[in-house]
Parts: sequence; C-alpha cells; structure tokens
Amino acid sequence: MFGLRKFVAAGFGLLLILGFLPGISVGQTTSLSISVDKTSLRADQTLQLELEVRNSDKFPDVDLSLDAFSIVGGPAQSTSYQWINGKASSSKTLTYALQPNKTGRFTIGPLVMQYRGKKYTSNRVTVTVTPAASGQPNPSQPTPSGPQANAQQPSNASDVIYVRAIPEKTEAYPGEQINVTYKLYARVSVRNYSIEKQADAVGFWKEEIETPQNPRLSQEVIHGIRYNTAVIRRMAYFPTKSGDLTIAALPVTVEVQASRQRSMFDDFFSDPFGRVVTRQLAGNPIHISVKPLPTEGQPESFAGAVGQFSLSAKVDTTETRIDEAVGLSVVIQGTGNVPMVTLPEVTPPDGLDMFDPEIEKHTGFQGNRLTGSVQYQYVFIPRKAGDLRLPDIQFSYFDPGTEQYHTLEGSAQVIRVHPAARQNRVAGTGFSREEVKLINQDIRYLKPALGTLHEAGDRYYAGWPFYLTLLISLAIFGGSLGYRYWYERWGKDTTYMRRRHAMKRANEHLGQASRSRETAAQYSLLSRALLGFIGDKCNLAENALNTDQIVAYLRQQSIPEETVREIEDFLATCHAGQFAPTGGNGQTDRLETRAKSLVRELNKYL
Amino acid sequence: MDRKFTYIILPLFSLICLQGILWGQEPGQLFGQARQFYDNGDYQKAIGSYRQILQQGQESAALHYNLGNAYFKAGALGEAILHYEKARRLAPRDRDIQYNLQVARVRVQDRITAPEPSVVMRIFNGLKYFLTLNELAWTTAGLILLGSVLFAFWRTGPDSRIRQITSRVLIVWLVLFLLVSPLLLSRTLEAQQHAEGIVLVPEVKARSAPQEMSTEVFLLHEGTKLEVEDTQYEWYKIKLPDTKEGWVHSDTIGII
Repeated sequence: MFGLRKFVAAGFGLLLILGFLPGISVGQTTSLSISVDKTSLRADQTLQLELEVRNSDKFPDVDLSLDAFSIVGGPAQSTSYQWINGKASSSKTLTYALQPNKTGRFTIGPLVMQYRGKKYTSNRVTVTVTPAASGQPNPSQPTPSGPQANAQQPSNASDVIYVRAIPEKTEAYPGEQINVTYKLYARVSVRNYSIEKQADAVGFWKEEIETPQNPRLSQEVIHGIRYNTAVIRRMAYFPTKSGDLTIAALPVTVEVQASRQRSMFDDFFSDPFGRVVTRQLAGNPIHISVKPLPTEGQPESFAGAVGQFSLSAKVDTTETRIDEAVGLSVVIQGTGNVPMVTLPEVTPPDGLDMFDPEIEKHTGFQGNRLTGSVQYQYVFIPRKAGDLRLPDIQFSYFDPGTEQYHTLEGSAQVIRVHPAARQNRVAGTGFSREEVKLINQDIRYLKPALGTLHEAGDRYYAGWPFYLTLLISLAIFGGSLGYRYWYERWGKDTTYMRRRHAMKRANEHLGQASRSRETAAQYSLLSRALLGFIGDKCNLAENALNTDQIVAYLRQQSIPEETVREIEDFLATCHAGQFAPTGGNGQTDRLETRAKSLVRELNKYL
Repeated sequence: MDRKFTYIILPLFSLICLQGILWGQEPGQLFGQARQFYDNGDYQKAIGSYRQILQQGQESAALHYNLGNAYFKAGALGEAILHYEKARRLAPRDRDIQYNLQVARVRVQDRITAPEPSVVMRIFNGLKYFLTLNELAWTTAGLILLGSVLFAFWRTGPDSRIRQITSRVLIVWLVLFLLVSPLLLSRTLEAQQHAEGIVLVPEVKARSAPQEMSTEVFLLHEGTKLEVEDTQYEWYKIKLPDTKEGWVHSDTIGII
C-alpha cells in the first residue's frame, strides 16, 4: 500500500520532469569565465581563481600554466543548478589556490576550453601582486591563509570532510581554562551531524560552551581549497593535575550528500532526493602539557582556585544583641575555575557561635571564559556582649596570566554586641504578658522583721506531734472498727444482752422500789427486781414465771437449798405484801436489803 | 602565775572575744545592721551580715528574701534567685517574695520553653506549692484525725440520724483527702528524687559526661533553674524543663 503510493508519486515526478525536458535542452549556451577573489594581493597571500563553465556536463579541461603563479591548492569542484523562467542552467566551477611567484602586474587568461567539438574562450583578469608586508615572503612554501594559520593541520588535507580540534593553547597550569573549538570542514554538502559523546579527557574537568543550534557557516580556504566550515562544538577544559595530558579525539557522525560528477539527468533519475552517506569522523587528539603550579609563594589559604577573582564581604548588621544572629556574606567573583573555589575553614572566636556556611555557586560563560560567583553565607550568634571581631576570611588564587598568587581578605568586621535588651525581646519568645510588665522593674524593699528562725534545712513537720496525731487517728479508727465488730457479733444477741444487763435492770427496779411511796408498789417492784434478774440471767419469759416454777428451775441449776428457800420466802412475803401491805417503811427497807443480797448471791451461780 | 596569764589565758580570752565579734552577734542585731548597709548601698556588707545569720544554722523566709534583695542589687542574679527560691519555700504565699522572684527571673538570659502543662496539671501545681511542705504535712495529719473521728461517729453513732449526717460529711472529707494526699505524696517524692538548683555563674557549659574534656552539650546562663538528678564526684547531672540533660560542675550550681 505504502510502497504503491510511493511508486505512483515517483511516476508523477517522472512525467513532470519529462515534460520539462525539451525546455531544458533547448537554449543551452555554453560559456567559460574566470574570476579571482581579489585583484591586488601581497606576495605572501594566496589568490583564489575560479573557472566557471555554464551549461556543460563536464568540468572545464583547461591548461592552467601560469609562470607568475604556482598552484598550491585545488582544484575544488562545485556544481550548481538554477531554474530561471522554466529554463534550467547549470554551472560547474573549479577553484584553484594560487601563490604569486613574483611581484608585478599579471594578466590571467584568456583560457581556452574544448567542449563537444567547439572552442570556448574565457575572459581575462588582471592581478597586481605587491611585495609581502613584513618578513620574507616565502613563495615556495605555501602558507595557509585565515585564522587557522597556526592550527594543527588535518591529517589529510585532501579529505572532503573532516573535523579539527583547535585548542587555544597547548600549555597550561592546573585549573587554567583551555578552550577547544571543534570545527567541521567540508567540501560536500552536510545534511546533518551529531556528537554522541564527549571526547575522553582524563585529568580534565570539562564544561561545554554553548554553541548555536544551527552553526553559522563560513568559508575558509585551506591550501587553496575552499571549505565550508562550521564550529560544531566548543569545550572548556580545566586540567586537574600536572603532566602531559591528552584530550582524545571527538567522535562525530555526519550525513553528507553524495557528490558524484554525473550528468544532471543521471542525478535526477538515480536519486531525485539526493543520496545520503553517513560517515564517522574523528577530530585530532590534543596534547597539552600541564605545568605544575609554582610551590614558591603559595599561600596557606590557596585551595586550587586559578583565574582572576575578587572578594567582597558584607555583614548584614554591625550592631546586634546577644543571641541575635549576624549574617556575613562573602562573595568571590571572577573568571577561572569557579566551581573549584572554596574558602578555608573558619574558626569563630570565643563568645561567637557559628553555623556551617551555606554555599551557593553560579557559573556561566562570558566571552568563552568561565565566570561566576561563589557565595558563602555565614551565620554567627554572639553569646556575650562587647565588641566582637568576626573571623577573617582569606581567599587565595593563582593568576596564570601573571603567574603569581594573590590573596584576598575580607576587611575585618567588628560588630558591637549589646546585652540582650528586654524591650526588644518582648516580641520574641519566652515572655508571658505578666512577665513583660516586670521587665526592668525594680525589686521590692526588704522585710523589716526577721520572723521566726528555724534550723536551716530542718524537716520539722516530721516531729513527734505529727506522728502522735497520726497514731491517735489510727487508734480512733481502730477503736470504732473494733466496737463495730463487737456490736455485730454480740449486740444483737438477746440472751447475751439480757445476761449482760440483768444486774443493771435489777438495780433499776430496786432503785424504783426505794423511791416509791406506795407500799404495794414497793412490794411489787422488789419481787420484779428479783424475778427479772433471774429471768434475764436465764433468758426466761418474765410473765410466764410463778414462784413455784422459779424455785423448781433454781433447784435444777444446783443453787444451794438454803438460798432457794430464802428466795421462796422472799417472794412469798412480797406477794403477801402486795395485797395486804403491813409493816410500813421498816419492813420494805429490810426487804430491799434482802433483795440486794439475794441478787448478789444469785449472781455467783447464774 | 602572771606569766601563765599572759601566755595562755590572754590569747585564749582574746580568741573568745574575737569569736564573739565574729559569731556571737545576735541574729536580730545582724539583721538590723544589714538593713543599714543595704540602705547605704553597701550591698556586699549587707550580704555578709545576712550570711552570718545563715552560718549560725538559722534561716527564715524574711532572711532569705532580704539576702536575695542584697544579691540582686549587687548584680549577682543567680544568688538572688537562689535565695528568693529558698524564701519562697518557707513562705510560698508571700507576695513580696513572689514579685521579686519574678522580676529577677525576667532578667535571666536563658528562656527555656517547657511544654505547656494541661489545665489540670496547672491547678494541681498551683495547689501543690500553695502550702509549704510543713503546712501540707499538718493539713494532711489534721485531715486524717478528722477523718478517723468522723468514721467513729459513722460506725458507732448511737443515733441513726447522726450516723446518716456523718456519712455525708465523710464523703466531703474523702474528696478533700484524695485531693490533699497526692499533693503531699508528690512533694515528698519530688524532694527525695531530685533537688532543684540555680546557675550561679554567668555562663556554664553543660557537658555530656562528668569530665572537663567531654563534649559540650549546651550553654547555660546565670539564674536558670534546673533539676539536679544525680551527683558524681564534683559534678551534677542536671535536667532542664525542656528535658535536655547534661553534666555541670557542682561549683556552678546552688541547690535550693
């Protein structure tokens, strides 16, 4: 599909060209002309002579034997086609480089050329050769013209295309910049070129100098041959050591348009879009002898900077307060191996804390020289008041131009450090609003009275009253707990409680009896005192008891018969007395005494 | 006899007299004298007089306060703060002591920002230092006595109404006790675990180990308060409120 379309397009192009063909072949007039690049020249210069033949499929074949000039270069061939008003015209040019053999005025031409059985005669040119400006002209030794006069020569001058590495110098000091220009020389049309990798350069640190994307073309004549030249790369090399060092050749890949001497038709039919050939080129290696840096007079602060530099140091403030930072900015500016610029370590003086400096480097090319600046930003924190001298900053470099070392010094910076002032620190950290009010306030006056003196450092609270208090508390606590325990255990036991309170109640009854005015009540109370006592002690229901039952119970309890009889008698007397009170107070008093002694007696046994 | 007197008794006598001049002065007398020195601007002599009382092994809040004032006026910020702190320990609610301590603290160069305590902790600390350790101990002892009496009433009260009332009072008591006893516990533990100190010299470098040659960890300035956690030889292991730790020579620190 794709191939078909290409084929159809090619066919169309063919038809188109065939249609034009008659027009091209008709009206061709062949002519020969010669021209020179200048009509007057010095004896040490070269002259370029161009032989141009129009509308011929051959390069002119002429006899160019001139006694005033010798051919030192060429012939370089070139062909061009033009379309004017639908008519094609072609021209073929031969370029020769001519070296004058003598001075004077010479005429070149007319030259005669044979083409298709016809003779063509050229025009003539007149050239004036003046003596060489200085020195002896050396007519026999051709001197290449142009700025590359001293450059290393290509390995093979007759190459149609080659790359040359042109160093600006071959001797240098370590750290000195050596620019190398890589130039492409071509007598053929170059479609494209590419540089895949840098040239190997052991012992160098390199930096590419930017070249325009589309290199500017210029023309140069080397050995009388005109070349199109283009700077394809510029490099800055900085040797890092001394000795004989080599920068290897730069590999370049070029695509060139094949230029074969064919007829116009051949070109059209065989390769309508031009035939492209890829060629690998390599420039020439460069040998550089790197001299060691002079050791004599090398300053202590020298750290490898080579070039021309200036130093400026600036503090951001000359007055500060304790703990407030001071910035010192040191800028080294200049041309040379800027990335190698380092400042020696700085030791801050006493009372000054220092942070590691922040380093910023900027580099760039200015006029093909590496320039830039290195900024060291130091931060110092003063820790005491007074005039403090910031550490001296020294920087040394080697100037390869004068071959001398130079030492630059940041002018001594003295800062005045004030004691930390309160007012200005309010905005800062640490103070609360109440504290701010106290700043620079005076203290209050002395206390008039000495007060109670204590033994210094005495923990007097831990004396015996303290522990006694704790002991009493513990006793109360324990006591109440103990009481509670007893109450829970015994206080709810009626048998136990009745026994416990028997004597108390008996005494109560006896007391009531003696206070009573009524004799009947007295008898009743006395009997209740004794009966109640026995009931409490033995846990008997009081109301259910009559005298006989009590007596029987007491006998069971192994109470002496005597006592039992007495109780029986006592109760009977009381009983009788309740219903027929007799005897008055004397009787009841005696009964009361008897009751008391009976209770005491019973208490022994129950 | 005469000779004995001149050679033995007389020097002995004069020594006793000298001692009397040096040591025997009444604290009250020295206290008044110091005030006169202070009023005349002779702060060094005032300091000397106050120190004489201290050397007799006696102290009071007013004594430390006045000594702090004299040091403050003499420009010894560290000593001033040290004695204000000592005065405050003896009289924590004294406004003059609090005020002068604050004035002095504001002049301290180091501003160590400790993490802000929570509201609860701030109230707790406020209560903790509202009383002296002595007062706190007695308060606790009194509370314990009161508590035991209330307990006795509650457990053995003859009347059920009385028992009911005392049980409610006991709840109030329990709240109070739970509030006060942690304060005492915290303060006694604090006193046992570490001492507090004040930097007395204008500048001291805290080091990573108790050796002069060890690396410097941070710099401290006069008047800064710190905790002394440990001692080794002549060195204190100190801790700042922001938890930084280091060792400083004991000469540079005054213990409160």
